[in-house]
Amino acid sequence: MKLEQSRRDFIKNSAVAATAAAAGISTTASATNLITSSKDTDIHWDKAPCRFCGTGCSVLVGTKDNKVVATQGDPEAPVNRGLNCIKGYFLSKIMYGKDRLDTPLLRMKDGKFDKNGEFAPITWDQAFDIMADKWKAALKDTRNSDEMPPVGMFGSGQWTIMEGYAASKLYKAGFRSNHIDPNARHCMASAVGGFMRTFGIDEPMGCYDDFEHSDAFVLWGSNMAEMHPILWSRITDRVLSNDHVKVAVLSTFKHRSFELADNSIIFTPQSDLAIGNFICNYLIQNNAVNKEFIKKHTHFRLGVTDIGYGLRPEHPLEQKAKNSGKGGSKEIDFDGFAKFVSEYTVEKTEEISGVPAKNLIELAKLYADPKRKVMSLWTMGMNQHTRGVWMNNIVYNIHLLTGKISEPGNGPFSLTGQPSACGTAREVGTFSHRLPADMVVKKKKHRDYAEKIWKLPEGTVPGKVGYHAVLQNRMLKDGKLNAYWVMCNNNMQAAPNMNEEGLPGYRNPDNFIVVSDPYPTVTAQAADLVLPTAMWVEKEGGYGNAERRTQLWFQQVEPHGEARSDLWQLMEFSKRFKTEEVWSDALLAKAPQYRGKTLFEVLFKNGQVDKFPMSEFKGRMNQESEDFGFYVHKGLFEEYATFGRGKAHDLAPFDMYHEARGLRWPVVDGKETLWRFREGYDPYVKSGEEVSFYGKKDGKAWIFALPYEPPAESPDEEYDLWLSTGRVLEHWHTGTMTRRVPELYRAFPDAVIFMHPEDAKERGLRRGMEAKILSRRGEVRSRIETRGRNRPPKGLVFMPFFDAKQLVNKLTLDATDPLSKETDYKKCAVKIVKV
Amino acid sequence: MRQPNKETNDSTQVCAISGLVVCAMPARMDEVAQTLNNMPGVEVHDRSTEGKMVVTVEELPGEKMMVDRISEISAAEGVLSSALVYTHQE
Amino acid sequence: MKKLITFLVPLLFTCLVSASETGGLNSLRTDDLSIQAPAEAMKKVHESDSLLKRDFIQQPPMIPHDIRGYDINKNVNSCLRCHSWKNASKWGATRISVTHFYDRDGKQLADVAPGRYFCVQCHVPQADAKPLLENMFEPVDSLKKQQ
Repeated sequence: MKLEQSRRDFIKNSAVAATAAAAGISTTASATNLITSSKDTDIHWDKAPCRFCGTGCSVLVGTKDNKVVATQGDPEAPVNRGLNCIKGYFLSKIMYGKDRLDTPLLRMKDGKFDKNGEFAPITWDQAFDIMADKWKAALKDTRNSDEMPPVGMFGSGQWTIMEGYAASKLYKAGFRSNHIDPNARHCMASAVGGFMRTFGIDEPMGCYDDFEHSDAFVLWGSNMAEMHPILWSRITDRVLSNDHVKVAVLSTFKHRSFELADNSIIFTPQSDLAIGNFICNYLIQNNAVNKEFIKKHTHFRLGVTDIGYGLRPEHPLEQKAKNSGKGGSKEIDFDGFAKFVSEYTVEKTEEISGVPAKNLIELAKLYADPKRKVMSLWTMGMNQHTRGVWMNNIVYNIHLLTGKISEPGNGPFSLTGQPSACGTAREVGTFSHRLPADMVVKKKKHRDYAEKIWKLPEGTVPGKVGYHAVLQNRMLKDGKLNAYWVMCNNNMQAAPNMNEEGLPGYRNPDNFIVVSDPYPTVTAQAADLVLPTAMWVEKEGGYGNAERRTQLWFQQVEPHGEARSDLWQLMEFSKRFKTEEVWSDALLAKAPQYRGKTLFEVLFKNGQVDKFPMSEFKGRMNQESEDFGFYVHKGLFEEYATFGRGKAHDLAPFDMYHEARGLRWPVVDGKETLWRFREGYDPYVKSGEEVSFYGKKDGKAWIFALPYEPPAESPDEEYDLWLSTGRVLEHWHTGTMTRRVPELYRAFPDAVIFMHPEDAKERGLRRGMEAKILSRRGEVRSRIETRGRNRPPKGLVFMPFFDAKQLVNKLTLDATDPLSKETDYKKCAVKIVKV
Repeated sequence: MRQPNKETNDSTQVCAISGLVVCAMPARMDEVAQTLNNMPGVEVHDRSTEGKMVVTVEELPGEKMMVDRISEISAAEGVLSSALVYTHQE
Repeated sequence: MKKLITFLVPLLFTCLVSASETGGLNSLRTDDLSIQAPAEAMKKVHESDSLLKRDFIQQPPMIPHDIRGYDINKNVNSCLRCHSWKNASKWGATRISVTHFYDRDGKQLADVAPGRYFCVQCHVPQADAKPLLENMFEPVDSLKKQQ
């Protein structure tokens, strides 16, 4: 009886605490009649964005005695209003897997580093010693040449904004190497390419408020029901509450999002290009083009074709391509565009795509109806595509032709997969070709601007584009990238073609590979040095979600063991280098004041990053700042924010983000922007302009004429099935966090091959049987699943990539979009045999 | 196969607890708190000067009053709005 | 004998390679990276009459039974057949929580909020499987006593 009574008190007390946290009331003495029994029940609640996808849900994190004891959806957050998906509800457990790394580990033999040695614990000092040795050796030969040094980094869209910014600065300005790229390259580089090409400025014009205003949702390659569940619940709400609202779902196989679809479209891989062009043609043929809009706000361009597949240059497909890797275009007029798409008749499109004419026309009608507000949504189906940039362009074509853009309920919306793909990878510009605020390393003006903000001599940042994700693995294998740091991702399990590129690259004796991670991952297993890393609320940070919402959080608990945040690692490592060890003599001659200084002093103790004393800190704990002696996070954020302020990328003052549940940039005069490019919503559009795509010089967006071109690899007689890979609801990416949570592990324990029952039967297989799946590059053993959430058509199989025991990336082809360099994980040829 | 529920009146057994943020007109807070406290299973725990109150609603086994009680709270005189932020059930 | 050799040789090979390939470090994978081990057996879904334990009270309850063949789509929701307020006591099923009757704006609705319609976004069945690794998460004391 007593026990139950206390439990009830506890639950009631938690109810009070959670409710008070939501209401912003601190529970005072008046509530203590409940808390009679103990201080035990005192949980500290604070907000933090979810650690997983790009949706950017806010959660309340409950901590007690330096441990996270509970998490719940944040009722005040506009994104999720108290809801979470199953992963989000279990955030409280992601930091507590038993094998958390608590000390640096180095491969050693007889007490010394040995590439073939066994991992053994060392101190942070020893770890940075050997790293610095390796980096300095790699930097030495190129220091006084025009070449970038063979030092590189593979980062993440899960880095906090401050971490991405510090990493980018350390590499591009410190080591003077642009060989730094985030795993967001695998995720939304094609979306970036599409935005830049069509609008000249990155990221969506609309926001999540569109969900409550739209009359039709078209999913162009996104299984939102599993990958963006909270956004899906907002769509579900809109659809089930309003009879007239329609949903069209396009995919190469049937998945959970089809449960809400009015128009279910299964198309042959790669034929989305034809479907998009058919819609443009239909709009023109049926007089559904908004002529005034296209006249005032658009140009028409004819794109270069036959652009190859981003494979190694000696690959026959690249040899054969006329314009391998080219992204040029020339001006045409509306009639030229109309003629170009006129060949995509419903008959021809039906033939290419395998989609019945009826469904194609029904889809086109959603866009053609001037009274219907349409939202197009996509993620990896469209981005992980050898013509991903083109496909992004084509969807923009549809919205521009109809003028259905940049207003509530109307717009193309590119969703992101990672919590800070937008905030860190894109906005901070951690790509091998980028600088903050959409600037690029290739443009002298942009480099000058960055160098001025950073107080560095002219010419510090190299003008050449560095190695992108897939190229980094190739260069590791070829021995042209020798000192390499992988941070905040698990690329050995994620990058394509592991057998031929990834693994040989990491194990190449010329290279020294460092992996920073909270857990021992597959990537860590292939590394030489492993650094234990503080994660999520073990550090302060900031993320930027898919709707341009920037969210900050405070550190809530001390890091596990000796683990340290990525930010601390980057900044501490920078102390190991003197400018004359990294910079050329010529560059140093321009800035003699930096001679003898460390990179830490030049980059981080520059009077800006160290501008804010600890007295400005309003949280409870901050490991890095206490260590470095200034409020690191505020300093980095404010220096970074100067890049975008006044340039349509305005961020609010740092402290505002610790108060608000995120703000959508540009934040001008303390006000966020919900719809960009339209007068009345966007402060950058002048009065009388109505719409201005100001990313382009004359304010006009580009509509591109681009054809259907076949994929890099298609099934043939031997490898007779398409393989598509991806995620599942319960696991996030390679599962390093979610598979260590018992409930999530049990919800989807092992990867399986989702397959059509007839395809299985033809191969003598049934549900549950073991099978070998083989491509030209490798093989994996798995089990057949013919029921369940994914129902592929005949001729295609789907496999998730979360399972470390079933490395699907041994099968995938390292073909990329030649423009965005993003891998096509959705199409390669495989065969399946009984074991 | 599941067994049908046994109706029980054992009051020590936890059944369901909800937590609500109730916004009342600041001037009428005392009156609202009293009304709410008089409702069975309802308790006002804390309040802020701007009129927000932290309220719990308990439901005992066999009762099915949670939804009605919450409606009653939002309909009470002086209450501007109520938001359910938390429930627990077992 | 031949059988023994065919068994031992790959084993020996594994040991030799693993020293260099993974440096003795285990991830959620214990085999060498270049090796392809047999697939794990497909796990059965855990079925029980009692609720699965929860480690913190904000945690959505797990589904203690198989849901294969259950439809949740625009026309039908198999879960509500037992878990709706109307039917729950008849089946001895857990009633859906009252939070599910509120929409995004906090408005109380007469039925389950449409945004909560797809149950499996938050509630999932559990396989009958031992966790890959222990999780060191500790619930607060008053919940610990329960177990």
